[in-house]
Amino acid sequence: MKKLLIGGRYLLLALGAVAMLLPFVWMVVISLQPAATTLTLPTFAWSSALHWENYRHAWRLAPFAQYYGNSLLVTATTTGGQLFTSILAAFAFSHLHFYGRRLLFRGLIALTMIPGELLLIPNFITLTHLHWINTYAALIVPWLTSIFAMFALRQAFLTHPQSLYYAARLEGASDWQYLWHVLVPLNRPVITAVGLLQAIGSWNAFMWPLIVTNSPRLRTLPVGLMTFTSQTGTNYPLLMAATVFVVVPLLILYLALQKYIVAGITRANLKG
Amino acid sequence: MPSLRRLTQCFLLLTGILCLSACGHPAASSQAAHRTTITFWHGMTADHQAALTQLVNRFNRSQTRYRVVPVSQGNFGTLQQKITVAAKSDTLPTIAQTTYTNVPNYVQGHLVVPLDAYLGKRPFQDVVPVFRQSISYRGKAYAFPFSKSARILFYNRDLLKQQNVALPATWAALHQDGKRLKSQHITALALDQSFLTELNDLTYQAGTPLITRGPRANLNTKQTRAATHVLWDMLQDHTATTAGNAGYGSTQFFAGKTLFYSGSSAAIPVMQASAPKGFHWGTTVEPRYHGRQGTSVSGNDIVLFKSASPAQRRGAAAFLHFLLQKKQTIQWAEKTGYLPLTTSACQDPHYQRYLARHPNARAAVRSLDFGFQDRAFQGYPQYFTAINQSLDRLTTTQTSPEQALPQLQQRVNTILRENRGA
Amino acid sequence: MLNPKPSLKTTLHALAYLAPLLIITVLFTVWPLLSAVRLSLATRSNFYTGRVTAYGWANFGALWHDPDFHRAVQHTLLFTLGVVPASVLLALGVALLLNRLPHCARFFQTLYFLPFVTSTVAVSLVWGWLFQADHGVVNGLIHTNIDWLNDPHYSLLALILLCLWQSLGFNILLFLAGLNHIDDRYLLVAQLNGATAWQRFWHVTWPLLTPTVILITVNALITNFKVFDQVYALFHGSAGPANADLTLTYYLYQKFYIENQTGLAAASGLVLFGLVLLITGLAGTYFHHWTRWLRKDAR
Repeated sequence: MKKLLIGGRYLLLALGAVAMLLPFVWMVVISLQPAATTLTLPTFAWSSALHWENYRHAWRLAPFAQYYGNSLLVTATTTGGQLFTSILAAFAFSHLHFYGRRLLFRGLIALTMIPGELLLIPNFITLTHLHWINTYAALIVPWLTSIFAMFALRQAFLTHPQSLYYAARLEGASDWQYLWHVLVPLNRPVITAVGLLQAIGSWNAFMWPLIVTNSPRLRTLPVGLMTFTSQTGTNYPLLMAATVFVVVPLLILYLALQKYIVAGITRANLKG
Repeated sequence: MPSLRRLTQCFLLLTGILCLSACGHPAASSQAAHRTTITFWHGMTADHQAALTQLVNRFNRSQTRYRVVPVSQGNFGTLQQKITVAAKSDTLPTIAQTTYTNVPNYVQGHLVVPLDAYLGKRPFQDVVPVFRQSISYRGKAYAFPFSKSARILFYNRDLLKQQNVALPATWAALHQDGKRLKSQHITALALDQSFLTELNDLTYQAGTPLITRGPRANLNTKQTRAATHVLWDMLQDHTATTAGNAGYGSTQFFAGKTLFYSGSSAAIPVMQASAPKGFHWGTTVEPRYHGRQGTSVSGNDIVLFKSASPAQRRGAAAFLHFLLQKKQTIQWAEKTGYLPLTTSACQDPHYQRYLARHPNARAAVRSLDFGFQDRAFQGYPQYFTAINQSLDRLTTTQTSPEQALPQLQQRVNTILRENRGA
Repeated sequence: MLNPKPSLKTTLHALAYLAPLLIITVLFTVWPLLSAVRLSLATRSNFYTGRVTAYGWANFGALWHDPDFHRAVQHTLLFTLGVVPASVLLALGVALLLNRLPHCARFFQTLYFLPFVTSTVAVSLVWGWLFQADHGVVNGLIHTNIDWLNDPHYSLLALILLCLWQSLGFNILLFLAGLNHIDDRYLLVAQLNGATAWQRFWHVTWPLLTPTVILITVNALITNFKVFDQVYALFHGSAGPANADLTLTYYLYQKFYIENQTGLAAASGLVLFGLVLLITGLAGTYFHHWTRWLRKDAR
């Protein structure tokens, strides 16, 4: 019976996995077709040779090394900053008592409901006043917070019994120490997951980097993907090749962090 | 605690970077110091971008005073968005590619300056007459024609021969052929997602353009309804199809069961690259209607922004002047498939030899004799959205022209009224 | 600070923790929101300079009478209703299947995460191809002949499917993190007490997972109400056939960037904001009562 259940689980998962995997496989297949700017997607012939050189060509068509560097820098700093500001705020919202806590929290959640398209222009104007247009600051500073991350971390922090906090406080730990020495290590899976999600969002951001930068020196990978599409047609194989090498770092990051996200937490050494 | 240390390191690194980047950047290079930089935002990518870069490099080599820096802003959609945002924060480039139909709005927003003062009238005299139509707004030259194309009819050579069909002289003939061939599962005409260009052509040929002086909208007149029916009836009896989400009708055209495709001449190079092996195709001018010829010319222009310094304006004028020179405009046309901008370039033996080698490029050049461009007016982008939405309803739902056009007329009247008040 | 009663001192202390987040939020979210409010009340203004010469409620009145806006509201509601519950339930289901899988757990987790890392542009291209009317994979699978992207009756469903597929990885990851957060010992105790798998889930896992469920649902509501990128990419910068995929954010985008109607765009953005606020608030209240009821039930 148990074996049957496990088997069923695998079967279901495998079926879903095919649906998840298919588009990705398709992307790789298209990236290996003969490169040409065409109006429609190339139909693939299995017999034809695989054009691995597409990856080399795509890489050379735009300054992708530069874009990589920029994307890495922007993603690393924004994710780090987001986690830092969110952890602090999430701690305040989950463990500290202060005037207007509920109202402020709800107000912040409400702010995430504003469509970004509405904020784009005023923010751009703010950056112009700060003389930040076409600088890394424009790419990074507005994204140093994430209310979603704060929300997610607060939800996680709330699951720990208050008694733990009080016990630590009675033993003489400050809030700061409790946060960084107890709460953060305990919540590593959630923090890693949230950080990963934010990193992906930042890595794939397209409109903002395009709007606030004017020179290719500061542009990021998603903007680079536009190189392959023109008004009259698209070089699909090269576009897909480039998409693959844009995605791969995220996959590597995911694989590297996976064990932190799903590794169960051991509560035995909590007292330490 | 390692995680705390790491976080602190992250934060320090981040502050460091911010300080560095916020300090502002020194001038891009020292050589720019004594040459005036002309920033040129454009929407060209891939091969077109390469062709443009070549022209710009040649200009820069010929210059000691000015340096043009082209910046690709992706496609025309994102380019337009960049211009909008930059305009609102006063960070516009010197010149940018855009359509002349935006000029009235830009003039109202005090964003652009006339080119006359810097370029003079002379260079424009040689510009192909139909392109000249769109240069001026309220008596001043604002839009410099740049990447221009014409609507043409592509045909499947083999299918035409096999079915013994002649190139259609009129829209009626095209419809007749279509009815005859339907039994053989052959579609006469493939259109792009929107048939606005074709409708524009038909109403122009009937002598009653959609927008006339004033501006006045003639969207619900007897003539417009009749012209809409020419296309709509073909769609209804499936002698014509629209491309839908595929965007361009060429997809269906290349599938081999379609005689004609009405599309932009700018697509010729890409069509050459995408045509299946053994597929033979040719191009001709659009059919007549009411016995008249008339073809929409569309594409993009270049405007000069007010925020540019006097030196930049002079430099921009020098660059535009350079683009109009025979050698440049012919090279541009040959490399990209856009049309040469001047009459002398069109007649140049070098370009004529190119046409002889590339017969498919001929139809668009021929169309210039009876080409026309839309009237530009304040609120054009709104009008454009409104009419495209109406036509989309005609193609994707059961709506008839009699239902859609009165609504459209009303909506466009409101748009025109609001913009007159602005 | 062990005193749960707020005082001036505790408030200042908390502010120190909140300051970094608040400063940036005020500068880049609250301030633009205020300027949007101002713009929404501007009835006559220069689009480029932003100078306003007349104020009034006319923009909201115009929205009230605009059939396109009604359509946008309707589509947005339908779309959210189509994506959110399905996405949360599916993600929970998959996460439960993936959780503590004896073999290949990481492999499967990675596969389910793939769609989320891929850029929307590539994803939309792929789905455009899958949704083709002739020879399309979707039609092939369910033996239909639907022109998904050109038939106004189905194009919203196509968008729903795409977003569902793409958002799954995100939600699964959060659920997995949430599930991992649950102490194994609770489940062990329940098992020792002879609880069935269902009882263990309903009385142990689910109540402990509620914060995650709330987080995911609220986040999904908010994200999907604001859907734009997927529409733009799937329909190549249009709002689908006969405006069938015109969503509120798309409406805002169109009014602002294409038609340069600042006032209307800002007003529609605020209406969207109000609408999400209302619905999320309702969902929040509902959850609140529901979790209370659950706790009572668990007792």
